Formats: sequence, structure tokens, C-alpha cells
Amino acid sequence: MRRNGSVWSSCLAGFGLAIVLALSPASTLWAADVPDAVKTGTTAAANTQAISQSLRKVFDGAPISGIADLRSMQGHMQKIAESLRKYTVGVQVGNAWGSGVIISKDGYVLTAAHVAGEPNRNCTFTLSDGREVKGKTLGLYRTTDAGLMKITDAGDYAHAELAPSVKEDQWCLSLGHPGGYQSDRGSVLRLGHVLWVGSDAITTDCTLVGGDSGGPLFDMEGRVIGINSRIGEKLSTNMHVPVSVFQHPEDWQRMMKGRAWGRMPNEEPGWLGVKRDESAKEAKIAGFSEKSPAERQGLMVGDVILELDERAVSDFEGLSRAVKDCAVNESVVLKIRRGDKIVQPHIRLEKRP
Amino acid sequence: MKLGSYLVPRVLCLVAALLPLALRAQERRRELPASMRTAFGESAREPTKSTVQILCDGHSAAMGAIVRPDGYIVTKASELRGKIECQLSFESGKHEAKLVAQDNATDLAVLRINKRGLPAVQWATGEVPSVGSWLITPGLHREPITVGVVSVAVRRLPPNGALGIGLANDNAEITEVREGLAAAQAGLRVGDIIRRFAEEDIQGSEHLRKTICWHYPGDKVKIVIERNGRMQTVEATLSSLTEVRPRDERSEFQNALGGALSDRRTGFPLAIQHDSVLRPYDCGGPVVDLEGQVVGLNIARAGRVESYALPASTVRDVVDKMLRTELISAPATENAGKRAANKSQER
Repeated sequence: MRRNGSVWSSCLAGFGLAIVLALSPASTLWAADVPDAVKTGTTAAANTQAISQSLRKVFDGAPISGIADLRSMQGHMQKIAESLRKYTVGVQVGNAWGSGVIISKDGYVLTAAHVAGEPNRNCTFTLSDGREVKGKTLGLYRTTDAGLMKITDAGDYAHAELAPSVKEDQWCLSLGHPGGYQSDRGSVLRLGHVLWVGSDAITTDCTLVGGDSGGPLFDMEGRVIGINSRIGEKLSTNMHVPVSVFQHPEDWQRMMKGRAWGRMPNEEPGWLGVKRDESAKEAKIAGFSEKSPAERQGLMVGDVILELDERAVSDFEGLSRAVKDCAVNESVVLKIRRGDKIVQPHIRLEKRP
Repeated sequence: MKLGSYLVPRVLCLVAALLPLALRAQERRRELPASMRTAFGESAREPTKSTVQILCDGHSAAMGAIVRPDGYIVTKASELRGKIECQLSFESGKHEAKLVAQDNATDLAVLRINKRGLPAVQWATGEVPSVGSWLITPGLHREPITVGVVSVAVRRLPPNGALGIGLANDNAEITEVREGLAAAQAGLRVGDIIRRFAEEDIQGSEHLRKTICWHYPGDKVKIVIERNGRMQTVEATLSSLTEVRPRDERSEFQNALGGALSDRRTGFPLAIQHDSVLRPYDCGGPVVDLEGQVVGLNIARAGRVESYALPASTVRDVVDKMLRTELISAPATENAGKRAANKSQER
């Protein structure tokens, strides 16, 4: 049953976007207070116990040797389908419908940034048994379309683990609520392959459609590898936010604090035009690119950039990431150590020539 | 260039942009490896013999399944038009077919070709396949048309009749009347409160919505409304939710990404939803499980992620009902045919 605001409500307009591939944010360091939820599971979950070596190879994309492999694959899918449905929730924020996946006992929910919209909004989750629980939207990282929510009604929620890695060619399962939550249907399972893995996006041939946003992409052991985000014209253009985006400790902290940041994925990333000082650990400027907006706006060789818009920058990679989360023409405040002084200039980012 | 569409229903307009080349290079649905196609083909070997391709005016229109050795074939009714021909899997050459019976609720039709000794499909009698089970859609050849898995357990699908009105959130008060659709034609107005719909007392807008969608487009229903404090009865001929949908442009747009949908795609008494990618003309034929059991019949491609199959028991019951009527009304030709067959054997 559709539960839209009116019989034909939810005006829907198609729009396009671009994905820009940033430097890899991969990091295995964890801040002390990162909850277990976003740490990759090390304990063997119920779903992983019964998997034989040969089946694991099939799941990783090895050619199947015959009907016996298909049978064991099927037996496994039938067995885990029910748990995967339990982890998957319907989400309503305002009059938008999407999906999400519970990743901790106390009800943290990963979703898409464009489902949450803004931090600190009230939202309603519909669990797989039809029960509705209240919640709040937390942070969102718009560049990657990663969003975080939390169920605020106390409870002990069935939750998924996060996968330690994702590889091209592996099989995967996606769930979500196409067209919004429907009580007589529940979430919808799809099987596919991981076609391409980038640091900010994964594409699969698990066919998605409106309403699937924020829903989980699982590996065959039922661990989350991505969050459903957007589709293209072809059946194979189904894009997901990799869980590694959520696992970056600084970004996770920001999301927990309910911060929203990043540019819209269709906006071009801004450009500062500074060159790295290879000998420095910190984000120290060794020189400028041609037509550098930083140089024109007063930055100097030897400057060490400590913060961008109050976001701590510990090294040059951190600076690159922070700059790429801003749009062309966006004005940012830098915190710079220049000699023994701290300066805080406003710099307007430009389009990379 | 339109690439990448967010997957949440809401009003948003962003400027279209280009996808990086690395992504564009990947824009194919991945083909299954040969070893898998062969294995699935093995499973579907027997059912493939009972699979038929239906051509209408020379074009592929649907698939079908042989249901009796004496030339009866079941297929999807709403795809049929013009001159109907059947192509069997085990011989070349086409057979002209006659439409024998049709059932609106399931969108099934029975055809008859002039041929005997055909391999009839064996409908599965066991349980309907559960979520996560493989489903194979055989074609005429050794390798199947497509495979997928069960996405949603078997369920009823509403036929999606519609009035073409907007409703207040709680009580069933009309806030909007769409031009040219059922409600407008019946003279309903903004401010009217719907109290009864098709002999059912209405408790609020959610209840009304659920009630309407379980009626068929084209149904004539009596509606009791409260207008300016007075009760009034009107009669409306229901529209279809698909006629109301133009305002659901983004959803329509997204669902059409990846290929055309079946015209008739709602309102089946029972359906198994699976994720096989079917083209509308791939519907109407058998769906097979990994053990080679014919567990259903593909009846619609309903969306980018939705294909529907009627469960075997439903198809068998409806076909039996259609054939009973047909066989009672045409016993003479049946016997004449048998006599002719016997004679030819004697020679």
C-alpha cells in the first residue's frame, strides 16, 4: 500500500549528477570513541558460520562449477534473506520516503544524505515487522551522499555488521523500499555483482529505483558494503556509497555530531592551487600552481594549513579532501600557521583551469 | 545528458552533469558467465520444450506455455493483437493460433494451434519459492532468456483503480480534483467528504485510499459524499492509477530507465515478485526453479526492479476453468480430430 500524502502525491523530478572521485580516504585508525557499530566486525556472525571455502570463492566471483554451486548459493540466500529484511528499515523524513539499515543495537541507521536532507530533523522508521519507531537525522556528508540517523525510541534492534572490504566481481544483495514503504510488501531483495569500486562510490547491477535510497547493499555474508544512492539510464548504473566513507574516523565523528558538509555531488569541486611540501608531515605549502587562487589571495610559501572551515587538517591529504568537499566559488576560512603567528584568511575557491 | 537519478521521491531539481569515463564504460548489465548460463539451461531443459514464443502480426509479443498435448497454449492476454502465431522450441516454422479464452483478473489467455502430441508443461505442486530462490525464465533455446531471484514473498497485488483526487491527511475530504478523471466526471468537488465508497463505510483518508486501489479501473461504484452538511450519492467509473501518475514523473522516469514496461502490470490475484530483467514480450511463459519445476508464469514487467510471476497453482486453476468451458463447447471438433488422427494411423 502506498502511503503518500495524497493519492498521487510525491511529485518527482528526474535530475542528473556527477560523481567525482576523490583521493582515497581509507584509514584503519580509529578514534577512541568510535562506536563498535562502524568498526568492521571481527566476530563471526551467524550468517558467516556455515559458508564453505568453495562457496566463499563463488561469492567472490569465481566461476561456478555446476548446479551444486547454484544450489548452495540459493540455500544460503534463502537462509539469510529474513535477517537482511530485519536490518532494513523504511524511513520517512517530512514527505520524503527512503530506506536505511540498522547497524547497532541501540539503533544507529546508515542512510543516504539526500534522504536525511538536513541534520536534526524528526524522522519515522518502519521496521520489517511494520512497527514504527521515532528517530532523528544526524550528520550528512553530501559529497558522497552518506547520511546517519538514530532511532530514539529505546530498544534492542537487530542490526547488520559492516564488511571489512569490497571487491569488484563479488556477488551482492541489495534491499530497500522501492516507491516507499508498503505494508503489504515490505523490503525488496535484489541480487547482483559489484561492477566497479571507487573510493566514493560503488556500482552494481542490483537494479534500484526511487525509494531504495539509503537502503543497504550487502555482501553475501550479510554484511553492509554500501548504501543505495542513485541510478543512471542503464540497468548496470546503480550507485552506492561505500561503507568505507562512514568508517573514516574524522568523518564519522562529524556525522555523530550532526554536522552537514560537502558540496552537492553534481557541483564541481573547488581548487586552491597549492603545492605540497613533500618534506613536511603537515599540510605545508611548497609553492603554487599557475593561476593559483591561493597565491593571488595572499597565501605564502611555508604556510601550514591547520583548519578549513573549522575542520581540522592534519596533513596534505586531509587538505585535499577538505578542499574537494567545497564547491567552485565557495568562500572558506583557513586557519594558517605562518612563522609563529596564526592567521585566518578568507579564500575564495576557484575552478581548476 | 541525464545520468544518475537520486532514489528518493521528493521535489528536487539539479543541473545534469557528466559521469566520469570510468563509470560510463561500465554501463552494461553484466552477462552471466557461460558456466552459469549452461547450468541454468540444464535445470530448465524439460520446461524449455513446453515454452512457446507468440508472434502478433509477425512481431515478438509474448512467451507462452503448452498446457495440453492437443495444441492448447497459455500466454499473457493483453499483449495479443492481430494475427497470432506460435513458434515452438523444437521445430522451425510457425503455427497460426486461435484465441480460445481469456481471463481478465489474471491477464491469462488460452490459444489453440492445430498440432497434436505436444509436450505439456508440468505445473509444480509444491510450495511457492521463498525470497532468495533462483528463478529461471526459459526461452526457445538451450540457454534461458534470463535468471533472477525471488524479491518478495507471494502476495496479492491491487488492481489500482483511482478516482483522481487529493485528500486531506486525516478525514476523507477532497482537497484536489484532477481534470478528466473519474472524480471530475462524477461531479465531485473540493470540500466534499467521502463517507461511503462501493457499499463500504469510509473511516478516513488512509482507509479510502486502500479501498479504492482494490477496485478495478472501469468499475462503476456508488459513492456517498457529504457536501455542505448534506449527504449525496454519485456514481463514478474508476480511472486507473497509471492515468493519475503523470504527476509522478520522476518515479515513472526512473522505472522506465532500463527498458519498457508491460501495459498491464497491476491487479493480479497472486504474484511472486522477482528481479529478473524481462522485456514486455518476454512475459507469458514459464518460470522455473533450480530443480526444473515450473513454479509459475511471468505475467508482467512492472518496473525497473519488478517482474511478476503468477504462481503455478493459480495458472493451473485458471487454465483448467478456461479449458472446461472451451472443451464443453467444442466436443464435436475434439472427437472429429481424434478420429482423423486414428484414421491416419491406420493407413
